[in-house]
Amino acid sequence: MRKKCSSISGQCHPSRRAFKQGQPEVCFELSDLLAQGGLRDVEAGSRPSKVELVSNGDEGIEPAKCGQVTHALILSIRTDLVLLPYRSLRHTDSMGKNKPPAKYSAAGLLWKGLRRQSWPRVWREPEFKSSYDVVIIGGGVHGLATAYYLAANHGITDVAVVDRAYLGSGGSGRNTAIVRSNYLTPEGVAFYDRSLDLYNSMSNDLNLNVMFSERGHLTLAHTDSALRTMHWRAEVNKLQGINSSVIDPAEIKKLAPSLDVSTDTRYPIMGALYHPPGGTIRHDAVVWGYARGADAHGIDLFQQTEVLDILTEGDHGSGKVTGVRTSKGDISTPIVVNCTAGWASTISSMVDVQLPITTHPLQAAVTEPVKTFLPTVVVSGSLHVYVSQTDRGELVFGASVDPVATYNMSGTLEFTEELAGHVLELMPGISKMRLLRQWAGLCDMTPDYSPVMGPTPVDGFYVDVGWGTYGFKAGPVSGEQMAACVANGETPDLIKPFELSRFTEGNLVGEKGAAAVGH
Amino acid sequence: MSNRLPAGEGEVLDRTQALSFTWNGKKLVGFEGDTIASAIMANGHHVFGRSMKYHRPRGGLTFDFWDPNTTVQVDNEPNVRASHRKLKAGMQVSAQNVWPSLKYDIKAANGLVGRFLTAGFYYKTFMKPAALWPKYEHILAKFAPGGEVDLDTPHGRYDKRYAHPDVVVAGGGPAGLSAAIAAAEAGSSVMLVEHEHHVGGHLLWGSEADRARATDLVAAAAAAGVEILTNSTVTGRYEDNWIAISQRNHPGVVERLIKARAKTLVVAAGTIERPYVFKGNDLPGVMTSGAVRRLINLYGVKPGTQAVVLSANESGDAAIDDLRRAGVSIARVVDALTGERIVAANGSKTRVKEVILDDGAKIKCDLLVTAVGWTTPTSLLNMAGDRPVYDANAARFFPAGAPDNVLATGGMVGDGSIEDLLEHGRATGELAAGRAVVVAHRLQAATARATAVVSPEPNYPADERTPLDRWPHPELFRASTHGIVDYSEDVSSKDLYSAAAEGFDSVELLKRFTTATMGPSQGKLETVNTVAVLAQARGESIADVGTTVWRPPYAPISLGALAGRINEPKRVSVIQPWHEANDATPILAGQWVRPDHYGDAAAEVRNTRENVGIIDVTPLGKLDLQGPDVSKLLSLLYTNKWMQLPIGGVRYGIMCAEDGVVLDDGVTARLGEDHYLMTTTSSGAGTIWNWIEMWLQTERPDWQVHVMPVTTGLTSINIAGPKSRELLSRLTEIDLDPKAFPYMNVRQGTIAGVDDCVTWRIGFTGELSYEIHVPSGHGLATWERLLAEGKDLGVKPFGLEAQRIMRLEKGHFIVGQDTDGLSKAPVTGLDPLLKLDKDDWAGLPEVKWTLESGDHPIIVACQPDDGSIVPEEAAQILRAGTSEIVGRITSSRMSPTLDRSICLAQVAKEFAAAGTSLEVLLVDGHRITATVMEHHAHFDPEGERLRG
Repeated sequence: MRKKCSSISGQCHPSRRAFKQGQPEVCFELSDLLAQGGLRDVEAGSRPSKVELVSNGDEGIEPAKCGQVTHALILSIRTDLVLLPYRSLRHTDSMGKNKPPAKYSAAGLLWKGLRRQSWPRVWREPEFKSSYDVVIIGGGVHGLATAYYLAANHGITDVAVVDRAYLGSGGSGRNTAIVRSNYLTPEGVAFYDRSLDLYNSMSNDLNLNVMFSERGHLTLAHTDSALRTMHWRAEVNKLQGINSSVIDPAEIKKLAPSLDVSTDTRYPIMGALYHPPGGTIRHDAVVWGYARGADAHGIDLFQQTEVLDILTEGDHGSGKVTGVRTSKGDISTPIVVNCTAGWASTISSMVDVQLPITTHPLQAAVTEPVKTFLPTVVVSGSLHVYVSQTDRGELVFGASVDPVATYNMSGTLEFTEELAGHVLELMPGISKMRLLRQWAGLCDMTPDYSPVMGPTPVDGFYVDVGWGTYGFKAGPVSGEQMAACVANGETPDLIKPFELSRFTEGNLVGEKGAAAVGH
Repeated sequence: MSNRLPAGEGEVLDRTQALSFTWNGKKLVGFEGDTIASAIMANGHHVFGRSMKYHRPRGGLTFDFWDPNTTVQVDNEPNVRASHRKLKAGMQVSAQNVWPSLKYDIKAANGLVGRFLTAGFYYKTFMKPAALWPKYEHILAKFAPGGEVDLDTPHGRYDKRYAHPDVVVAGGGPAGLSAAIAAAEAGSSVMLVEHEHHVGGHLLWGSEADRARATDLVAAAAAAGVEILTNSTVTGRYEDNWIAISQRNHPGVVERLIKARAKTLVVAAGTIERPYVFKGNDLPGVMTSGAVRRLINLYGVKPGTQAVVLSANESGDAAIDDLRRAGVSIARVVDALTGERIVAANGSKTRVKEVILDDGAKIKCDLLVTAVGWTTPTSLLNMAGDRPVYDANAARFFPAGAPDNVLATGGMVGDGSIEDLLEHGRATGELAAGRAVVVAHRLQAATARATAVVSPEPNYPADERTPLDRWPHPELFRASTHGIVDYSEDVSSKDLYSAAAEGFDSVELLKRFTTATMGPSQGKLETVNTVAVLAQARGESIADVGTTVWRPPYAPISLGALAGRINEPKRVSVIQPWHEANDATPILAGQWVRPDHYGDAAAEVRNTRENVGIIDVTPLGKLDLQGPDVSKLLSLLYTNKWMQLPIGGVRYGIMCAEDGVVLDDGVTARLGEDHYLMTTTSSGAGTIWNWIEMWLQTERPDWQVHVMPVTTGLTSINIAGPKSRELLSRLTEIDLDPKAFPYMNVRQGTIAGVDDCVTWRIGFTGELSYEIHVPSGHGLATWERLLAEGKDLGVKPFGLEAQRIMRLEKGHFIVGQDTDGLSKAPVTGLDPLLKLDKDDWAGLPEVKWTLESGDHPIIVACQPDDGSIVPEEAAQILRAGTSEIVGRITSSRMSPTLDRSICLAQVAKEFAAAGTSLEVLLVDGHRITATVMEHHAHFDPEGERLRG
């Protein structure tokens, strides 16, 4: 059923200039054509002036589309497929570096679907420059959000984000994506409430659906003392205008019918703190949304780019940043922001800034999908487990950090055993569900369970690290505040308590009471 | 219409045992030995379910454990792999992902609009209006794949087993069997784990000679003493060869988790046949060569009537022979080795109908068989740290290097005749056994034992195996058309192209964006095709694109098996039977269950204050500390001084975490020169033990301190009340005279005839009281003696609630209730205990800073002005007339002694002065006033009763 569309004459000519530079240019719509079918009857290394475009199956290519091909270099041909220099498929210069990204919308999906067009790249593959105003280390939620707000709120766009793997490969892609704001201290509430606000409007702010599922968040109490803490949190939240209240087992059963609320279990559920605005979010989408937004503002994102050293002048531990040495080359820059987790202390020690951080793995797991039955997020501090069901039907589980400090992310059997035991204690009916995958992420723990944010004794070296187990929840507001911090050269009030100097000046923050109950 | 073939030689069916079951409500019959899927196929049904996104009808693809298309609901169990699970009589089997029925599915309409539902489409829409997103989300969630969980499913019988084999062999094909036999013959204890129901691997569906060979190998394995586990999967390889095995056929158990510490692991997982990507590749009737071979040879099922076979290897050729033998006419053999290709398949809704070749020919058929190559399931090797490398010549990935104690053999590492595979397996088994001997020796030598291991370590055998050949194989991943790459996730190669063009062009990003390889088979079938398509899209080689990391488990394992027997520990004191017999109302306190009260807590308080009461305080954490450096340890962990505590002395102390927050409190007694007994709070017992070990093991390893938790070794009873001295004197020779045994002292001696009891004079209740610690074997008897001897004194037991009331009357705070995760030590108001002049103690800098700043809340006693109101233990204290929080009520009770409500509260310092009026917001919204008291103690602030 292959249909041949009309061949194109005289339109596929290699650009002399491009060939000289070894960089063939291809109008990005070509990728669309390739996705539809492919190019045939051309030879490797050829510079075809005429290319026959072939579609597959029922899905013909409109001749009009074919006409948009400008020039191509065919690298090699193999049996039944055509290999094109995919990396050269980029926006042509005429489209401009700072062109806003194609807007995502239902109408766009419809239009592209009808015209069988594909979407442009979500972010560019920028050229590596030797100098930037700001270099951000770490392409996770924190780093990308910082980059995005530097551009969006402060007009600073000469920024590079470097990550040694792919964007979102660290904690941003390994967390269980739960967000809430029912913390205990006024500082904690103000901070996370701002984060929740940003998450709430994020889909439209970034024009990418991050699938924020405001499904409600239940923290179960299995003991008198836990219940007392829930009441305390509810009372504080009530006064702070946060929607959270203590509910009884009958109400819990209505919200989450799979929970065993009978009194004859080992850890009977005595009540719960119910926080309706809490929920889950698609963590990868948050990463991509910020990356796409930052890119649209002209910020350069470099994946597979490892930072080998940070260059300084002046004394060790108190000098001035001059640049970054990466696996792709040196960048000179006056400002470096360390937005890493797991390696925060390693990166900081490159400029002799010592962080009071130990790194612990946090494990998580997911089951095979089943039809959805758990509409809320359920957390049990006593049983050390939190669980939610994705829209795809998988149950996502997490627990507390492992007690041992290590960089090993291979996960343990014991974690899955304890997890399963605790989960079945809560939801005895799901013993036949199967665990599909387990993984671990790294958490940088500080002595007061609070992050370290802001400037350091090294001029131009900023940190946004030490996020323990709750970095994802705080991603947007951290980015916003760190951007303000870097742009204004002054630490904003909201993150002032988190400065590194607190460890030597005696101002440890306490959000342990709130943060330790976790997710 | 029946597809059942006449009985064949190698089939695994027992045709004398007919089993009836239902399929979507329709009654069908299969045989003993059938899988659910083979029985359904035998009855002429080809469609097993519908796909996740487009709800396209799907038929069996591989007819083995990894088949993505034959996942069904069986009774109350979702996601049953019908191509693996054996049929049982009475099973109610139904298709998943269908609505309202398998035949007519309304959501199949999605297929018509597929072009709008590209991978990740949901990221691009449903954003406006924001208010509608929850509705959209609700609809999206309806498309969640998988079966239905019956929430009333009872927890079946699951179990666990620990094993310590020398060698575990994962995979019971020829190489695995050969390795197991060789290792066992070399003297190793060997566990052979086979995923399928029979060992033998591909020999089982091979020629008569192959089957005979399999029988011989199994006999040899049994003779060599190999423990063979069938229908079992090695699901994980963790640190130091900690091996998880899911055993699904242990009698009487739904599923059993075997945890084996193997000295060597041999991975012989074979290869998995790869599907081919082309338009129409998910039509029912399109299947792999292995699928038809299994159907015909093992299950006597005829997979179709007219077949086209795309063959690039011997498996395809063997399938052609099998098909001919089964009476299936071969419409066309497409010989991939000569460059022939298929382009697409067309079909009706339920079956493939024709295949289009690249020369334009259209061949009618109802079965399209593909044999295009193999995927190496390197998952277990990944878990050991191996990162596989692609070999373009053989068109598959190969292991690149695992630790010394993990060895691979068989199809995973190369190709060869059966003899070659057996030989490689044999060499691997010998190597595994040799290395296991060395590991065993090292373990023995490293373990402290009475007689030291002195024999020299055996030579560590080097890997001198002759590598298997790697046969050339054409790289066949995708035809010139687009088709499904991930069947369970409904992701096509076109989706992958679009995603790559959008910038999701590294394999990890692509996986996350499209969800390819994230389904129930975790990429066993899909990963290599995904990588190959991405390589095409990027114009790079497969080797450059690389592959994803496979994580545990190798195959999904039930939560039930992981949990085993649900067995949450419950701790009780030896006196608990007495409590229960005497109508105690229990209360849960962490792992402990203990008496809350015996009917009337207020009466218990009054009796204790007037006469004498006894309480079982066994859950109190107790640590026996011995060694010359105990006093240094105590000085480091407690905030106050310990170097001068005399023998026979008892001291109270507070412990802080390094952030200065109160971690625990309790009393510690010095029993001898180098011997102390420490008590902790009940809930803090485990934490403090860990805390002490952390300091001793990582910070002060040179200190000589031996720590032994004795919480349950000693039964602890507190005797409180004005008549407590009289009562105790009736049971002991210890001199209880206040001068000989003053307050805050400890004595050891005989109580109620039991030697070596520890008695200290302290008082949490504010009464004269003695706490006795009795070896637990005598705990209940001692309790009963106290009650019997004190009858005339009015002795009565009291529970936790009475104790809490009395400690509140006395103004003692409870760590974790009156303090919290934010309360630094100065919050307690016990500044004299915070010795800033000591060299060092945990939390000192933070506490010092806090005291210097003076900016911290503080615990005060307060009493509501209306003594009939008991504010909740959560009620917030506000700056009068505002909603600014300045504190909270942390403990509150009605005092039976004072006949009014009493409280402890944490308040900001400016509200801490005696006489300050506090505004308390009750949970119901009303505000009341309360007054700060001069002392923490509401009752007997001078402590006369205590010290008398």
